[in-house]
Amino acid sequence: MMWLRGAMLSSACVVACVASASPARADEPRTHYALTADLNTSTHVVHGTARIHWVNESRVPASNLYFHLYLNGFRDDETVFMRESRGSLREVEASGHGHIDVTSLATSDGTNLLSAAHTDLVSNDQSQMRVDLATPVAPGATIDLVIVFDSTLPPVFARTGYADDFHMVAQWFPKLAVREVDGAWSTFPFHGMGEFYSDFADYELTLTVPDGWAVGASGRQISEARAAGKTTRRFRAARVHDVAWTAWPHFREERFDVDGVAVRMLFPHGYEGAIAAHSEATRRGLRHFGRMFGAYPYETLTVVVPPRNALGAAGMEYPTLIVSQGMWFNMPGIHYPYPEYVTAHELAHEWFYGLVASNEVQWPFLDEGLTEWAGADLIRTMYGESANAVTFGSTTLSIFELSRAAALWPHPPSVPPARPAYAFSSSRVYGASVYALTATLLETIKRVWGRARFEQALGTYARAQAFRHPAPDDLFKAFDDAYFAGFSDRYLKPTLFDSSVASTRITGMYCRAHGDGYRTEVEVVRDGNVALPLWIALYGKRGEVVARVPWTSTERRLRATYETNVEIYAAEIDPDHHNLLDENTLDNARSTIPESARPVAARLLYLFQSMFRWVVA
Amino acid sequence: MSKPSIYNARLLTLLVYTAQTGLAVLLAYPLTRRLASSVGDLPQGVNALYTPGGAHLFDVMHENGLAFGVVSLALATLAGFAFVVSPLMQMAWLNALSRKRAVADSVALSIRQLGAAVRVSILLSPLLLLGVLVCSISGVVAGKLLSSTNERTHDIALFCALLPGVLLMLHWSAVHDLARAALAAGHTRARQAVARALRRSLGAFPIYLLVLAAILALTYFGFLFGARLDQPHSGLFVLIVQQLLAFLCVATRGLWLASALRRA
Repeated sequence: MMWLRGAMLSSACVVACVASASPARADEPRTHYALTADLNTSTHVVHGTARIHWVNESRVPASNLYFHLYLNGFRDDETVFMRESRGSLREVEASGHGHIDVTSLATSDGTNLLSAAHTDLVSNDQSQMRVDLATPVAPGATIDLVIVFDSTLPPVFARTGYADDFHMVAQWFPKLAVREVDGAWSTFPFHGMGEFYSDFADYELTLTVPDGWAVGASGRQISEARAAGKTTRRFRAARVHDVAWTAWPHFREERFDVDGVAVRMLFPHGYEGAIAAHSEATRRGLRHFGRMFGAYPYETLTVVVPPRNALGAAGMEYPTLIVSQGMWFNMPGIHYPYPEYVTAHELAHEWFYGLVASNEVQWPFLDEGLTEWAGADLIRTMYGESANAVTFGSTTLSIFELSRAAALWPHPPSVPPARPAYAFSSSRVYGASVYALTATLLETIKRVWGRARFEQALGTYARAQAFRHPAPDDLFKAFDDAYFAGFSDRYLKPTLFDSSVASTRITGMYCRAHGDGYRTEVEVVRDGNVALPLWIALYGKRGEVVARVPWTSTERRLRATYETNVEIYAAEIDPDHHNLLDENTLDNARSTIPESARPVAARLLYLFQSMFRWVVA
Repeated sequence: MSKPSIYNARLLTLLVYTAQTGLAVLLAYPLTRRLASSVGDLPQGVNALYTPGGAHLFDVMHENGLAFGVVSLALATLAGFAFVVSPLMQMAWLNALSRKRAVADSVALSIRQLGAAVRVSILLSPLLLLGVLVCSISGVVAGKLLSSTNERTHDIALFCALLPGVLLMLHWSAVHDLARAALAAGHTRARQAVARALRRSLGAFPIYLLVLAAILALTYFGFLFGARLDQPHSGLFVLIVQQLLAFLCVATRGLWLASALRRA
């Protein structure tokens, strides 16, 4: 297919440059964007201007500039985004189109560049724009541009758009692609699965909406003025790589401060009771992530809970602004922290995306996978080790067991996590691989080797790569430094690059009298390519642990003999459930005591009786 | 016609409870065996299913996915069968309550009354349709009229708008029981039974709602009790309490049917 081939070629150019680029980037001088946006609330069109002061931070003169015009991903049904996503994202269907039209493009001295702009870089897709420069921009030199554009928002879909008078405005302005140190542009069409990759810059946003409309935007508000029935607010955000904003006349607002960070919660009327959970996740998260990954460096954070008719905007992160989701009520008696989980996940993105700005299209596991683990870890911190996903009565399911189930059922994902976003043909495989399998791997490592070292590895990576564009090797180096040389080769890469698992099973257990005691022979097998060091527990007749012995060898099959004073009735691999990469934990044990299932029988009987009650007489 | 006395109430409660339990055992037994074999090698045995975090629970669900599917199919088949024979069973229950006669005679009588029982359902179907219609119209109208900007108010108002339709459907259910009770009480013509039931339904409706609420509460309490006692060796205790509750549910339903007979 032509469109796919074009997209792949464009992306292939990036693979090479990302692999060769050094992640270290100078902090100064920085690119600067001065954006204005005037929202027409009737037509849902944003009339905007962008004054861009761009610094060529590469070692090579720039003879062209690449922009992302991602709103054009919604221009028609034939764009790369619409074809890859099949017009549906996160169970929200596209119900209209949107686009961005650049009406003027010139240098600050008035030289027209619009005629040198090309948007046909990929067949049937205008989500990228190349501008050929008559005079290349030398390394370290700058160029000043003035762009006038109109962004027509779609009915809210794939993070952007409007629903009635609610507006979530993201990917709305012409944004420069990342120019790597070697001079290659990391530019991508807007992919169905992929998200975004941009360079750090200073932003100033001047935003005009009708009077009475509440607004949330990236950055700190520095002024507000009213004229002719409109309110204009200015926001400033330093060292960020995107700005997004929302406007709605019906937002309710709560404000609080967390260690110097001014937090705004924006939510629909009626959510006052439910918003407490989002606030608590935000409050705890800023401290939890700050302790692990380095303090949140910005002055503000805005958390938006959109109305339910705008679910297409939900569950998305932008620098200093996150969009969560949830309902106005909590189910009495059922603790189900999904809304807080969305907030926790998006907040974690402020580190793994916001600060550690890896290439989300090329290596989505570096942001989504790490964030999936971090968000779940925050929920665990809030609600306890196991009672952190679903609690109904006393039945508790761990959020990491849910991740494991998503990652390993019905089998490990066919596409491994460390692949570009456009390599995934379905959101199900993308979620199972990039999100769930990566988080499952990280949690397994945390459990097997302990929290302290894991935090050291991930924390070192996050702190070292803040305000940079790291690649997987930077993550692997942090883990090798924290654990031991070659750790990543043995325990990270097999799963990330090959979807390998660490399945184990016990194939035999025999206990015989031997001298004054007993001799137990246990035969265990490793089925996966990841040979984790695990424990084997030996149990006595009453289920008590008689001995715990390490299993560190990497051979596929091991027959070990243990001598004990008491008779052994059962043996179990990984009794503490450290290994979440095991496809089936039921074959990890052998017992000589027949098992009764009476407790289950009672409950099942009652369940079926209750069902028949409504149909029998 | 004099109000009928109530006969065989305890015996019938026991019989209906036994019938429901028998059907439940048909499903629960093989599934229990299957689960036991899944967790049979684990040192914690079946208690591993109750381990906080669900470490083994997910694997049991995964490994037994096919078995759960088969049980679901069997459940649907049994439910379908039960739904078909439900009028027969209800009439048999009412007939046995209304006269001092053998249960077998009540069943034979209910077979003869089956036509009238079905006609009762047909005659009352407009009332049920009215309930559905009221629910649909009020839901659509409320959805159009209510502003979606305040979701809490919207949802509460929508719930209130749906309530009349729901109450109509519950009323239909009460009238349905009363009409069949009238058949059991000797009103052989369906039209006559429905007319009587409709006349007496307003007085009986609060009792019907009370009985329904009691059965729902008992059922919920049984589930809650089982969930709260997810501890090793709690099986027998949970079994006794849950079966007591299951029996009470049947008995409560029996009390309502007896009340319906007295009003018939």
